[in-house]
Amino acid sequence: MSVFPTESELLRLNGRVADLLVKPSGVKDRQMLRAILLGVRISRSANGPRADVFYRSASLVHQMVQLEPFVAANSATAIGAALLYLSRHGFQVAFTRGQAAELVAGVRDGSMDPDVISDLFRTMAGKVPAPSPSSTQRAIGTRA
Amino acid sequence: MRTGAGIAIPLPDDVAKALGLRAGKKVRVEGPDAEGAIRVIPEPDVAAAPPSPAERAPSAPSEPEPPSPKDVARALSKTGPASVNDEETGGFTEELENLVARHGDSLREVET
Repeated sequence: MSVFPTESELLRLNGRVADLLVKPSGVKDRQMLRAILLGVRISRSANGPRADVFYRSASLVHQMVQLEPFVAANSATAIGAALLYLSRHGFQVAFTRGQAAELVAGVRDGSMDPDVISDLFRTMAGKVPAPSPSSTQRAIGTRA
Repeated sequence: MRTGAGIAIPLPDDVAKALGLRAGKKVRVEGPDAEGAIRVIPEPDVAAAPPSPAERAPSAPSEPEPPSPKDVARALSKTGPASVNDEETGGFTEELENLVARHGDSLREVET
């Protein structure tokens, strides 16, 4: 069994989340969904700091929000997929009120890239953010 | 895509193109590891010509840009359905319900 969310798991996750939000469920572009999963899992930076569980979770959110492989509830499914992947690694992170919406809005307006999101996830999980030139003082969730 | 560790396989043409590698390039596929990652490691070309002096100049090897998801989706659509580790996982329904119970408010707020 893989700890990485599979295609069928994401389809079921989308169905459950869409049900919660009273929205239609189902995949809009199956090849795109597969491409996102494959792209996030394959890493050319085998041992780099970018290849860890937080970065992969962040990439999953970033790509699913931007590329919208599902008919509806793409953002909620993306957040759910990242939380699922993190929890399978023992990281039980929880968003404060408004934080998840701020993250998704940031992805859409381009202010939140995978580096920033992964630093946010690390912070939420109680880990020290990895040094990253693009993420300095940009992570949300650490504001006073 | 899953292979035994260390076994080199030639990539299908479309997949090789999407990954920025030449057609027929042999790669080793490793994983998934503990984080669920799969790594595609190109094999060195056996009959590669010796590098010219200019090519031997000390410089950091540049890592090719990874293919965009749209490129990969295009390649996948040409090569037919590929398995992306689609095996069933036990207890997923319970895991899903726990996720919704714990994070339902956050999931709702991102769609409003």
